[in-house]
Amino acid sequence: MTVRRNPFTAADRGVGLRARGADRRRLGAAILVTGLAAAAGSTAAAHVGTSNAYFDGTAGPYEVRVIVRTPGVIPGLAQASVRILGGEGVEHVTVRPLRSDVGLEGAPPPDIAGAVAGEQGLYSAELWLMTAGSYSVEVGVAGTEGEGTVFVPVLAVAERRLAMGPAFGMGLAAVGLFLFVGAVTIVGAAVRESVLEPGAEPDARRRWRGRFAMVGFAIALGALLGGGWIWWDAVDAAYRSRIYQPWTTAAAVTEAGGARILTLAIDDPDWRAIEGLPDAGLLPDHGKLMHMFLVRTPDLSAFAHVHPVRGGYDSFSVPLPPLPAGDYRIYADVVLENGFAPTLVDTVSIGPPGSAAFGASPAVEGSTGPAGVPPPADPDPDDSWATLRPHGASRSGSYVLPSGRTVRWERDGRIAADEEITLRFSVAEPDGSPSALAPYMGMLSHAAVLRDDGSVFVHLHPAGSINLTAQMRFAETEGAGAGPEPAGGNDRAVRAGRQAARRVDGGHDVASPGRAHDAPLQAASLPRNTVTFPFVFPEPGAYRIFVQVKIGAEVETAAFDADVGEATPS
Amino acid sequence: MSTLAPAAPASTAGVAMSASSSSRVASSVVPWPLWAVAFASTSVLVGVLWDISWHRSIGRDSFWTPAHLAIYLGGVVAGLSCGWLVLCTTFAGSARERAAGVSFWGFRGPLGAWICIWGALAMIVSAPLDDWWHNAYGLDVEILSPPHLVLAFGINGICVGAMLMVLARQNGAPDAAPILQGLFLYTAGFLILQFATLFTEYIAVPNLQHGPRYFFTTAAAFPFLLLGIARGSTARWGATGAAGVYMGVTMLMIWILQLFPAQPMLAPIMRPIDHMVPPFFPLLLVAPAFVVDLIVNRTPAGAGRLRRGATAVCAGIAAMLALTAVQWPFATFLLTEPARNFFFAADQFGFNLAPGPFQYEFWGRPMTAGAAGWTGLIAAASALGGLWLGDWMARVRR
Repeated sequence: MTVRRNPFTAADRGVGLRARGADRRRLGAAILVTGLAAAAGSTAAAHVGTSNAYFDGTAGPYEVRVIVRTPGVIPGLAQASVRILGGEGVEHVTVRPLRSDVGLEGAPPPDIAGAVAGEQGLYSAELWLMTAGSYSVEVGVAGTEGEGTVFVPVLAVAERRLAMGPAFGMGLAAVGLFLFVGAVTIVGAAVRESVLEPGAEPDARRRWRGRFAMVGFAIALGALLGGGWIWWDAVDAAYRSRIYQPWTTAAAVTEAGGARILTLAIDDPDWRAIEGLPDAGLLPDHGKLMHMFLVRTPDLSAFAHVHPVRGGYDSFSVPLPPLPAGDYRIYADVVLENGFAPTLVDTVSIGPPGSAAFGASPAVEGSTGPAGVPPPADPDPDDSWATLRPHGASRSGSYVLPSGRTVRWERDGRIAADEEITLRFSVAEPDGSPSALAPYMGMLSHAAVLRDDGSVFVHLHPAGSINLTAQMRFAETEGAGAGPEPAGGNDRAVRAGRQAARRVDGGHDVASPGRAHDAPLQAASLPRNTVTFPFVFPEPGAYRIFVQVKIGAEVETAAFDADVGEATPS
Repeated sequence: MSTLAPAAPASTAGVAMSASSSSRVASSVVPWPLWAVAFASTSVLVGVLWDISWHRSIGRDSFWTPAHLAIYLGGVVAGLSCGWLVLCTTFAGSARERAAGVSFWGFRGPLGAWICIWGALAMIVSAPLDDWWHNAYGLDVEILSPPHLVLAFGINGICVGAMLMVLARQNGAPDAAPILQGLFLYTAGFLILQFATLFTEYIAVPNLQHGPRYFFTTAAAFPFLLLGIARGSTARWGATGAAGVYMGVTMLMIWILQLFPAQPMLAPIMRPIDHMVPPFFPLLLVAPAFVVDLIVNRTPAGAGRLRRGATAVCAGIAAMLALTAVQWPFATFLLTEPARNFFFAADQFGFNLAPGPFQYEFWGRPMTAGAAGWTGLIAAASALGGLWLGDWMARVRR
C-alpha cells in the first residue's frame, strides 16, 4: 500500500536548499526537483553570505531601485524597499511575492508599499515568504506618467538561526522556573487540601502526601521539560540541516597540452540527485554556463573572472590565467534550468606560472581532478584577470590601472551594514579625460564584493545582483498567462527560461523597451565613463570591491577596500 | 468584593448573605467568577479555532487579528478574575471564605483559580518565546511546536481551572443545581475541545482516521477524559453531555465560519478560497461517552478497588470500540461526495494545499492487528488514569 504523507503536516514546511545529515539526499532532491524546480519561472542568485536582492532598472516609465532584504529564516518576512529614481507623479507603489510555480494566479493581491517618512520617493513593505524556493517580487508603480511593472527574482532560503541572547535566555529561565515552582505548589495544595471540607485543616498524613506529590510531580514535570528540551534540540537540528550550504565541490589544477587547467567538479548528493532529470541542465548566463571568480588569499592581491566549460555532467574546466602563485578562493555561479542559481565555493592552490600561453607549470598542482575531462581548446575571450594592490592598500578612493587609466570610487561618508548605498565608479584616461566604457558581457561593468574572510561574496552588475536571464524568464512566463500548474508547469517555465537565455545571450542585452532588464548598461543620466551598483553590505567588516570595466578590447580590474561599520540603530 | 466559598447550608446562608456583599456572591448559585472563567474558556477556545481557520483561509496574521484578540481576552479574563478572587479571599474574605480555598505562598483561593492564574501566566510567557521562535526558526506553519505547547498548557490550565472551580461549587452544594451541573459539563466539554484541537494534526483530519496514530492518540486522550468527567459529574450522563458540548461547539464553528468571506493573502495560493475555511467535522465522541456513562452508572457505588479498576479498563476499551464503530465508517463517509456540503464541510481545505485526488483518500500507514492491540492497552491505561482523576474530581471541595 502506498504510504501517503500528511499534507497538513508535511507540506509547505520551510525547507532550505541543502541538508546535512540523514535526510540530506531526500531533502535535496525534494527541494531541487519539486521545490525550486517547480519554481522554474524565476531564478535568483544564491551568492554567499546573503540572499538579498538588489535591482536598478525600470518599471514602465519609472526608474526604480528595488532592494529585497530576505528574512534569513523561512517562513519569514522580507523587507522590500522601492526607491523612485526617475519619473514624476508617483501615486502608489505595490509589491507582492510570486512563487513562480503558481505565478500571478497563485498570488495574493498586491500590497501597497507605504511611503517612508522623511525620504523622498522611498516606499517600503513587508513580503511574506512562506516556503523555500524561487520567488519573484512583482513591483508595480502607478502615477501620472502611467503604470509600470517589473519582476525582481528573489531566492528564499534559510540562512541563519537566531541565537538566544543571554538576557532573554535568563529571563525566560526565570519565568520558566516560576511556572515550574508554581505548578508544583499547586499540585501540593491540590493533594493536601482540595478534597477537604471548607474549614478542615489537613492532618500530618495529608501534609506528607502533599509533599510526596510535589516531589513526584516535580520529577514528572522535569521529565516533561527534558522531553521538551529534546524536542527543541530536534527541531533545532532539523532547522540547522536546512540552512543553505554551498554544494560540495572539488577543485584541482592539472597540466594538459602545455597549459594548466583548473577543474571544478561538483561532488554533492543534491547535485547527483537531480542528474538526468529534464530540468537539471544549466542555463547560460551571458553566454557562459559558469562564471568563476578566483581571489588570491589572504591578501586578495589577484583576481580572475573566467568561464569554465563543461567537460562532463559534473566537471567544469578552464585554462588557468597567469596568476601569481598562492592560495585562491573560488566562487562560481551557475544557473540551473529548474530555476536555482547556486554559487559554488572552493579553494585551490596555484603554483608559479611557467612559460606556456598561460604559464605551464612543471609542477602539477593537486591530483584529484576527474580523469578523462578534455581541457578546453582555447581560453574564453571574455576571461580576465589582474594582479592588484594587497588588501588594505587601496583605501584612497582612486585606483591606477596598469594602462595608466584611473578608476575613482565616488563615495561619501561612512558605510554601515544594512544600509542602501550606491557604489559609484568613474574611469578616466591617463590624461584625465573620461574613458568610454564598452559593454563587457552585456554589462557596462561587473563588480564583485568580497568580505576579507570570504564569508560574503556577491557578483554585481549595474542592474543589481539579480540574474537577468531569470528576470526575463519570469516576465515571459507570466506574460504567457501563467497560472497554477501543479503538474507540467515546470516544463513550461523551463522552455521560457531557455528562450530567455537565448534572448539575453543572443546579442540582445539591450532589450526591447518595456522589458524588465532594460537597463543592463547604465541609467541614461549617467556619464558614459561612470557606473553605479545598488548594494547593501549585509554585515560589518573589511571588504574589497573588485570593479571590472572594458575599454576598447581590454578588460581592466580595480580594487577598493572598505571598512563597513555596524548597522545604524533604527 | 468577591469570594467563592461554597454555597452555605440553608441555616447559615442567611447570615452569610446579610454579612457582606462578598457573601452574596458566595451564596449565589453561580457566582460571577464561575461565569468569568467559563467565558474565558469559551473565548480562548473559540479564538484558537478561529485562528486555525484564519491561517487556512487568509494566512497572514498579526498580533491584532480578532482571533488572537479572543485568545488574549480569555487569558486576561481568567487571570484577572481569578487574581481578584484570590486577593479578595485572602485579604477581605471571612474566615469561612478563606477556609474554602487552598493555600499558596500565604494566599488563599480556590484550587481552580490558582490553576487559571497559572494558565494565564503560561500564556503570557509563551508569547515572547513564540516571537523568538519565529525569528529563529521561521513563522509557524504547524499547531504543535514547543512554544505553542507552552501556550497549550496555559490554555489547558484555564480550561481545567474553570472546570475545577465549577466542580468545587457543584460538589459543595448538597443538591447541585442543574445550572451547576450544566456549567460543569460545559467547561468539561471545552476541556475535550482543547485536547481535540491540540491534536488536530493527528486525529481531526478524516483522512488519518484509519491509521494507528489516530487510534493511539484517541486511546490516550479520550478514555481518560471521558471517564474522569463521567465520575466527576453529578449528572447522570455527564460524559455524553460534555462530548455533546465539544461536538456542538465545533459544529457551530463550522457553520458560522463558513458564512464569513475571506481571501488568501500569502503565496502560493493553490486553490481559490472565498470564505473562512472551517474546522474539520468533530469526532462522534458522544458514542464512546454514552458507553462510558452507561458503564459508570451501572457500577455500584460501593464496589471495591479491583472491581472498579476492571470496570474502568472495560469502559476504556468499550469506549474505543464504540468510537471505532461510528468513526470508522463516518471517516469513510467524510471522504465521499455526500459529505461535501455546508453541513459537513468535508471539501474545505486550506488555500496552500494543492487540489488533488489525495484529499479524498486515506493517508498514512494502515491499521494493523498489532496496532489495535496497542490501542487497547493504551485505552486501558488511559481509563485507569481517568478513574483516578474522576475519583478525585468527585471529592474536590475547594
